[in-house]
Amino acid sequence: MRALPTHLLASLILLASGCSGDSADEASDSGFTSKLSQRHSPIIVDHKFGAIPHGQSVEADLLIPMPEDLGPMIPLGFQRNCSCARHQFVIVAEDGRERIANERPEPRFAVREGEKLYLRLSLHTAELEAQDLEPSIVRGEVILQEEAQLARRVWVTVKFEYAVESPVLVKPSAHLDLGEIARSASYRQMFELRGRAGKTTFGQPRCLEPDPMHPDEWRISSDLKATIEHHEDHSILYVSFQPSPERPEGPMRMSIDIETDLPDDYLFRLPVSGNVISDIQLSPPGKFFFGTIDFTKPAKQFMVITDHRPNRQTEFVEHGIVDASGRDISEHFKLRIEGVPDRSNSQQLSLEYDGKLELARSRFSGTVYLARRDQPGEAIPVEILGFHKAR
Amino acid sequence: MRRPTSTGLAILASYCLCFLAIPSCTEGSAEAHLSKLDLGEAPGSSSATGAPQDPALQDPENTPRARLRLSGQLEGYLEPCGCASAQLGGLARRSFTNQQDRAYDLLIEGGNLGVGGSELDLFKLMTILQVLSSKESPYQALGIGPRDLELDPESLGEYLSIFDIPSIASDLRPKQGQTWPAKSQVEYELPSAKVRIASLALRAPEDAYQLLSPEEAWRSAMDGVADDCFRILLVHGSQDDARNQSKLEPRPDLIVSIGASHAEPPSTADEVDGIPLVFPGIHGRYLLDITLARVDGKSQIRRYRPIQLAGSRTAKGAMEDKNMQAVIRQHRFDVKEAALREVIAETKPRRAKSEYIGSAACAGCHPAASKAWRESKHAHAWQTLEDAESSGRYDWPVTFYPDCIACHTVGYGEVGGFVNPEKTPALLNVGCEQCHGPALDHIASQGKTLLGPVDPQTCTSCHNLEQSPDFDYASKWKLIEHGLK
Repeated sequence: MRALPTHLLASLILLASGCSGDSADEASDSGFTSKLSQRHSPIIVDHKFGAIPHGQSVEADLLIPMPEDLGPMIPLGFQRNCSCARHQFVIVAEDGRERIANERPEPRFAVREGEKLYLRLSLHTAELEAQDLEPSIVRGEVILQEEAQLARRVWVTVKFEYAVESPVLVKPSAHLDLGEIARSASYRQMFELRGRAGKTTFGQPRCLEPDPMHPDEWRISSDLKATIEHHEDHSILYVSFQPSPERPEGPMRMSIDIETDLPDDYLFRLPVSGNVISDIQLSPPGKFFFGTIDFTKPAKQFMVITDHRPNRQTEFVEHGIVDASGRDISEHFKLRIEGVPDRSNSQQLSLEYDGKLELARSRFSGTVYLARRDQPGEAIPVEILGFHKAR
Repeated sequence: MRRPTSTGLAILASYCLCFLAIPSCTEGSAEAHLSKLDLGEAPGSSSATGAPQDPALQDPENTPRARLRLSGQLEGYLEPCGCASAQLGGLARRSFTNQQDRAYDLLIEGGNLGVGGSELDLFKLMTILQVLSSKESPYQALGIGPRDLELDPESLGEYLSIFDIPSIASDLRPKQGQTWPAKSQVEYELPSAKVRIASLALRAPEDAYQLLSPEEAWRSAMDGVADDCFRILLVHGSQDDARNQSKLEPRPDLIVSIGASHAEPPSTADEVDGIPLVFPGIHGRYLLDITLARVDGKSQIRRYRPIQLAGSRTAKGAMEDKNMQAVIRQHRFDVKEAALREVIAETKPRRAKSEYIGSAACAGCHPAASKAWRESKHAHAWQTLEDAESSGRYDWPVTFYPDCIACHTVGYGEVGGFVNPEKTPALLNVGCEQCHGPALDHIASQGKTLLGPVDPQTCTSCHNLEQSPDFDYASKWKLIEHGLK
């Protein structure tokens, strides 16, 4: 077994007096992570993966040195600053047999004389967006604990470096975020795809999305569409989206998969995300939220209301202001509705509170009712919410 | 005033119900039958959690199953701070995922939502509770952990009441007469199983809470529980604390360790004495999906799926719930509005007896060191915040947010430390005293009173794994290297 030099060991050992054999995280509530963050130890293990072609997975076994004057050590974990790599602890016996340590402080996972401990790191770049990634340094610490009853701990710092090189260059970005899409709205975007190494053939795009109930199962999306147009040295991907009536409002995640003639059957994947919202949008969303204020003092909140239906000139009017019990509180709240420059489908709502409500509890809630001038019978409720805290 | 239409009132009623769409349970006996509650279902959904029915639950073996989505140990981490790239977690990503990926029956947050008892922690708590109680993906259980108990008990109870999230504190009884909505347990009836959840804080301020033994608390929480009900135990503290509960009677079906022992969920579930044991990790970096099944009377984890809450590297803000982004943004402005920058300042004792005086006072005796500092990024740390604010990188007032200020000024939070740029301009930036400690006595004694030594731990209080992932002391020290002169 390779041993740590004594002078390094001195800086690595933390005498965890009183730790029992399975006290892997003593005093966690006082901050195990902060303990880690307050300690510095020299870099012991360093590895360079180099530039990984996007789509490929790579793996490396890093030999973790054992302190020479402590008993058998058990790997308890690998804490790192990035979740880009998965890890496993592999103990290799003299005869080459391997066993996977499950990061539990159990004797069967102690590294015995003649055995070696490896940190097996694997990086799966297909899970990342298809774009170049500059060399990134990841730091972490392997936590080892002595098997003995009064276990001592050793932290071994591990550093590894990797970069990602995408075989497809995509513009303008390797992720399409639709942002907020109103139910009546539609979205179009064009992407340029180009093979890094030269002419690349792209297949027909497939628009997919996960089943919300079975997120690992992807199905053809009914409202995300994509077509591709081939040119001499690049291709243009046209993407459009319009929410179908069946699609619920809320976040969505999709992808556009395109086969290529690149090595290893490289599949180009463009992740797509967005949020379908109602045609009547309130911003900030949902409510007039006053936060925690002193309700004995005046306060003011703003909101913008937008009607996303096409070709509409929005004009909202006040329809009433009530508290949670339905009591008219319009004498305490004044609503001003004004136009927003250059946005004919939006209006700004200013709600001014006079500071004179008598609250029975620390939470206040009420509702402003709005209506469109052209549809006065249809009330649009906007919640008022705030919490009283005397200052 | 014109009266709201009946439609409007109906909408109001359903809206309020949705916002507070959490069943309330009375301690000990009452059960909240999710399947029977009108919680204002999401379009196209058929279960009260907003999650559509999973066809797989129609198990041919009729195996009872519960699909749980777990998290915990948030510690006030509303969103990645953004001062480093590729950080995980954040409530907006969580909300996005909970709405977009509905492969769960229950959302369970283990607790330890905050990290202290300051005004800022209260503001954060309110924000977090808003997110957890959102009508789109409301949480069905919230454990109360020792970090939560650092808050003023009255405020904690009040905030939990305001949001009506079913909070659980099986081993806690308030000593004073404060509002205390936490229950000993909550129970739900899911499509194919019942689930009862209890939570042990294990530690609590003695003046405010009576702490029951785990045995007594668990026994009380499980009183009358049906044999076929899944018994789930949230345990705050260390891994040992969680493992030590394996002998409880009746036997738990699942132990969830809420603590910092695992920053991220391990790749597989653990077990203790045959009981599944899981670790959701910290800071909401991951959500942990498990499917708990009972086979031959024994609970098993059928599915174990850590969900990494990562953002897009290329599309800022993608895969985040815009509503929750707005809630968090509102929190940032509320903090400014309430002048918490000043409220939080000078609330802790100074780390040394001396007083802060500012970096300019050091330059006379230490010209070379002062020059090295002036040429370093530390000397422009405040400008970094201002630039971030004015450039639009952040669309909220970074220079007013205490968590940001603490690493860009001198002595923020301590008596005599930074308050604001107007009152304490000499303490802007990461000046000499931020690392070396308050220097007035050192100067007044003409150097006879020595300043405390600086070790790498001082650096990593700000340059920690999350905020400064590439920080390497050996190489970074060279950037600010200076001696005594």
